[in-house]
Amino acid sequence: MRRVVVTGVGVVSAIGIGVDEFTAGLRAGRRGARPISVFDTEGFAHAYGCEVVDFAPKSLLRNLNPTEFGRAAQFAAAGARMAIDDAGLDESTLRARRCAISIGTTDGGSADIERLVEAEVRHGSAARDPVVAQRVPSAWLPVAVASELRLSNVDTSTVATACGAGNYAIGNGFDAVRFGDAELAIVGGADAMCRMTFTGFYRLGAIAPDVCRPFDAERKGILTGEGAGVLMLEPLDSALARGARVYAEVHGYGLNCDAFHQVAPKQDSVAECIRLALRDAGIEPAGVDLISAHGTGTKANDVTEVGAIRDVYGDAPPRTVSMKSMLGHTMGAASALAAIGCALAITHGFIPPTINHRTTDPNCAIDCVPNHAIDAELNVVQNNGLAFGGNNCVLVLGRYES
Amino acid sequence: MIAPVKITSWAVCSPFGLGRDAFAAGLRAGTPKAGQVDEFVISEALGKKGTSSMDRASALAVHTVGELLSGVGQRVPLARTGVVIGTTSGSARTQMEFTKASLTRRKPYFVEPAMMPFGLMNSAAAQCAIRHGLTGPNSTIATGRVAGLSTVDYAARWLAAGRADAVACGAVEEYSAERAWLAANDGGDETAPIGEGCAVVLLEPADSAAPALADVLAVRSRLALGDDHPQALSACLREAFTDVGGVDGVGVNDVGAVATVGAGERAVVEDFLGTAGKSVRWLRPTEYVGDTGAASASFAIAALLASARRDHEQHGEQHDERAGRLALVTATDVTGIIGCALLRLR
Repeated sequence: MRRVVVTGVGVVSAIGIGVDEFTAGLRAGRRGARPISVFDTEGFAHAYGCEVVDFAPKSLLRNLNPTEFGRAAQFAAAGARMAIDDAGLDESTLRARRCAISIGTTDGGSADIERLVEAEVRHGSAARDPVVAQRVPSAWLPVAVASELRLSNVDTSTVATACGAGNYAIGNGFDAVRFGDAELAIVGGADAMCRMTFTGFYRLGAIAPDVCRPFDAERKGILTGEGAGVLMLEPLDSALARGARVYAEVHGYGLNCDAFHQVAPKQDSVAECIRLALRDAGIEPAGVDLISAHGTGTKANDVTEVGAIRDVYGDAPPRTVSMKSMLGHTMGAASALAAIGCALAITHGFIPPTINHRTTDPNCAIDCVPNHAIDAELNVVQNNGLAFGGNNCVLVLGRYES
Repeated sequence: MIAPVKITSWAVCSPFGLGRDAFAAGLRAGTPKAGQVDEFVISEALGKKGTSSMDRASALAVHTVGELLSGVGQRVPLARTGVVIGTTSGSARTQMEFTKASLTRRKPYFVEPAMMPFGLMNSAAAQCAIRHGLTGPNSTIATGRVAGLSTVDYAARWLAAGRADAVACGAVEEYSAERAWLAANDGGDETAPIGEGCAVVLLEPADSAAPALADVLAVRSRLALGDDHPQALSACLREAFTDVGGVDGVGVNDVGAVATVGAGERAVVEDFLGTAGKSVRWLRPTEYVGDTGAASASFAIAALLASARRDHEQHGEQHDERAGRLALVTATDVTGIIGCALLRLR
């Protein structure tokens, strides 16, 4: 079993594109929220979200023709290109090794499903464009990555475990590299703003009217977001041999299923998932310095998640932040972007804040590092991904010390 | 694949009917029957509670996984039983109906909230967990027509990492007008009418106590960039046989059966097997149950298991020439993902 490290990251997000902008955004507690413009919001009482503005696919992609792919696939490919550049790897190096590409998503090609339905509703079924239909399969996301990097000797998979998919994909790549199924893994998550998802959460009463306030006494829900987080995972030995910069080591992960409810989380199941992750990582609770929560900002998630954290960690849990306060809920990209945030926090010695915070809910008794980033030496960070359908996946990252 | 795993059970729901016998009989009779699983009525199979908005894919998966796991709970704890379900894009019908409601009603949020979770791609796997109490690892892999192989590879990785003791693994696809239109316009060259169904296998580590129906020796996948599908499939096959230790034709002579998904795969496999391919049994379930999308490769595996079961019934243990022989599964997705798997049928 090999040790696995993160040697490159690529980011497309509402608070920054690329690792430098993203790091600066996290440190500054940048807010990604703005009025939604990518789809028609007529009739909704409120419609704020965390869109990615200034995404210029032609300048970020080298080989892929963006017009042939949906927005989420473009995000994934751009994130991957940035990640391999950041890792100091080139295409010929990747081509010489067996690679795994695993991208998590909630909606995949759903934006194109919407486009088809809209065409049918407005102009009749003959107006549905087959080119749009061809973009629907979610498998296009990792295939877009492989096409951008011109890789054919590659195992590609789309992990479609809703809001936790990023962690699942990272875990999959971690196992693949750890056990020698792959020499390199390009993993993460991607999703594009989608009216269907916004509508679903809105109808559930889970969309905040103004901003996302995780753990706040007056939190009212999520803001939907979009983007991609892509990580390059490789064996520690080969990373050191080529003089790569190591952001963090992946110590392990745990996954389980609530088997309880389609949307409501189950506290003891989440707690068990945390324990599974710590056991897999070989870390005791006392060794964890920071938790990056799923932290959606809904009444149900935050109280359940903090309850689970306190079940595992007792009355003095680690500081627990939610990057969704800044990024919005980027669905399949969420836990991947947060995992990158964790790796950057370890590397640069700071804790990204939970912004928009006014008063901590007494039922969410944690220190959420409100509003301002703080300097901190972090050795081990836990990253939570808790999805609809009870799909839980918790990742444990740590500082690599030579 | 990290280490070989074994298949200890299988279950199927196909346009030929509910269950393995209907599937096996249908393949044997050889009369194509695509489309729906006519006998499958969600409220009858799963009851009325919580199923009024349930998509057919989730319901088929729940029913089929239930058949698969009947009795397994006595030897594998629910928390150590994993579920991996393959899909293409989830229930297109649910997603489109939901979106249409949003676009046509007086307010855009006048949608059915109960419908929303069934429109998520992880709905089938989540429903399997909820309805069968499966709290182990649970995932959904969306690799289209290769999903039946991707899920096996993925589940095998969980087993190697000790994350589960058994994994219910397979894929499902539902019949709907929405999916029929998408399939007709997916840019691929599959011409079969669509079919629906679910096929799943129970995967366990090679050293578990339960007897094996088949060993999964290798799973390999690649991406065809451009039009090089035959070369990509050949490379996959070569890698799979190398994984198993067969080089220079040693392994290919042991192949007794080949199950394919895409129409163009047989020619590539024939070319690869050479003279060894002359005595091989060829299976292509798509010709009988239709284009079952993400379930295609799972049906291919099921067809091999059905065929092996028939061999046992006809010839018994002693004279079963095909026992211990290798079986090959190949699959191609419209996105260019190509996969193959090598099984040893017991």
